[in-house]
Amino acid sequence: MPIHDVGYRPWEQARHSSMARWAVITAAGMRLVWKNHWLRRMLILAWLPAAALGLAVFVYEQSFEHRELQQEMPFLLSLLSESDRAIATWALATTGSDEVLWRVVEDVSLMQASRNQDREQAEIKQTLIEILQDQKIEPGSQAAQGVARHHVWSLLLLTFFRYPQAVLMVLLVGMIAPPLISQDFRSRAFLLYFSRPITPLEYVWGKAIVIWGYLAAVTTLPALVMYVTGVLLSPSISVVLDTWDIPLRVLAASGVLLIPTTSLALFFSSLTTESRYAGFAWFAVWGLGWAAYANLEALDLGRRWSIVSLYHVLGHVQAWVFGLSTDLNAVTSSATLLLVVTIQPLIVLLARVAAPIRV
Amino acid sequence: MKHASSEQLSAIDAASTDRSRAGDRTDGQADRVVELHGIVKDYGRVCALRNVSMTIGHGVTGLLGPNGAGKTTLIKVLLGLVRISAGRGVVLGYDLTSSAQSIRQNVGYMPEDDCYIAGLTGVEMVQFAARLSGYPRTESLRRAHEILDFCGVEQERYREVDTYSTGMRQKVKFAQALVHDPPLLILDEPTAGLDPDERLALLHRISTLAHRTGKTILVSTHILPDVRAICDTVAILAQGEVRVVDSLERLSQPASPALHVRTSHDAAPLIRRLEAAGGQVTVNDDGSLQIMLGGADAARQIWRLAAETGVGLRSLVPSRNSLDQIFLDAVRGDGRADS
Repeated sequence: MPIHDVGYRPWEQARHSSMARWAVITAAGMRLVWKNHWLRRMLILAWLPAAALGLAVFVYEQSFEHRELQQEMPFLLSLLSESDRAIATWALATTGSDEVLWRVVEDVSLMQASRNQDREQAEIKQTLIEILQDQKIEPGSQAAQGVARHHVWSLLLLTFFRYPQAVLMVLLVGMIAPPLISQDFRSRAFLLYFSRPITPLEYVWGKAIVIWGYLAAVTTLPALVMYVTGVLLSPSISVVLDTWDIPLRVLAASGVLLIPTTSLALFFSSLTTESRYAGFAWFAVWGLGWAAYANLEALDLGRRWSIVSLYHVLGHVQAWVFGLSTDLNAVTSSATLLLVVTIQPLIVLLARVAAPIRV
Repeated sequence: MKHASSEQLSAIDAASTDRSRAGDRTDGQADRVVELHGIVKDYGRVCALRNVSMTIGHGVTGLLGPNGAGKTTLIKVLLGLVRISAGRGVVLGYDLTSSAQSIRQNVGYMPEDDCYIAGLTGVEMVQFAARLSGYPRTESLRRAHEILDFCGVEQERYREVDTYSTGMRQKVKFAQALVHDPPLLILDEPTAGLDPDERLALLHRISTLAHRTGKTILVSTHILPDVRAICDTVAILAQGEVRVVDSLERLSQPASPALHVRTSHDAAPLIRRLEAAGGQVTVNDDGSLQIMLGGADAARQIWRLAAETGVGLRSLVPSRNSLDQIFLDAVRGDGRADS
């Protein structure tokens, strides 16, 4: 008999599949997070870099048809990460004559040298020459254009992931994640969760999806929207064939970003009942790592010790995912570190979540 | 501060006693909702439960015991939250060790601790509990509102739970335990932090749930008057062992028939005459007398002797063991393990 039979309707007993219970935790978590005004502002802000990126793709695609834009391309591309590669591939695609090609290389080298006094002009030139030789594609050909397009689009997206969105990710996760578990410990809400047919794994999964959802909204979604916009605004249909794998690379790069960061953030949240301590630990990991890397780079040890900075570790693996990294040693050590950063906190996290109910 | 009137408590008590008597008649046929056999739970060197065997049938069962007796561990065992070291058990027909999820699907649990989900309103929290139990969004919201009506939570349901008083949080905790209409309810200190009026109202709700909607309810509490008011059966744990499991009615009966007498004057002359007549008289702390006098007309004899000695009698009723005494005897090891 129902507890409170109101008479005008029966209590329906049909229940969902137990598979969907984590989704209930996620939905409640997302709703609670959404109440934060700052977070909503940040989400709007997060789409500005995507708009800039979309504009860059548009200009790049138009440069194949408009000569006046071609003159501006070296400068525009020099704003990207690994700009030497971007400019070299663009030059390959658009320049039929060696004379023009080498003039561009010369311009770029000067530009790079003026932007970064620490790097030798000769070194940059050598890098560009090697890239051009590696391509083995005739400059100005259709094939060169396809390779360049893929390269430039990948670089644009990598820049998007590595710079504006990485900073935003640190801020966003620092806002969302710390209270997710610590507040449940503080208010002893785990008793409400685990007296239901919920397992610790479902609980952690449900919480992780909250972070993934918001992170995907500022990284994966804008990147994919930017890709689709770029394809639609491109004057050439061949863009689809040249860049068909980029959405898959975006998803993979998102996975590289989302999984370790979520595991680490939830781990910090599970260690304390005070969410501010978890937040402090989160920002400390990124801030101290970045500062350590900057100091080591000043001593010319940055490349060897890049694993001290989680930010740079993520960058190495994401560059590899976009097909832009040839430094396999750095990628392997970075990927191993990310694996450790994912699995070890996850084990501790599950143990921490299960601990209060087993005592 | 308001105090519960003795009449109100007596009314719940009397209703419970009537049901208990009715329950006694069907003891033999009562369904066994919970059956535990030789349950052992140890945490390393600390043994929290030692060979616990008991059966819980329909109605309200009070789970009593001093601090550290193993009540909370037993509740966690029943919910399948902790793995038992030895023994076996069945809850609502599901095996304790292999069907913990199914058990939790069908059990409502109200924790003792102050627990809530920060940032949710009262109705959102109850709805959330229903959704965790597997109900769709709209059905969960309907149930949440109906259960909050039942629990006496009015417009406060739209406020965030963080801002609630202890009493309000107790009500919401009670509501979330009920929202999925479970056949078995486990309530851990349900009246803690409630004012006397709210306490009576909650006891009334528990009684209603058990006797009108057929729920099986296990109440873990330290408040013995609450147990007396609503429980049909009592289980007393001490040092991880079950010391007593029996109906409250049977436990209240003294080992040998006795009469409880209150006098209006000095009872010394009456005591002397009773002892001279072969009776055994014990003077209680409150001055009342516990009299054991052989023969079927013991009450008549007492009236006569009182009249002869000029001692006025204010009350003369069959003596019953007090729950306090039952509890103390059980904890000290004088209790009888029964089922």
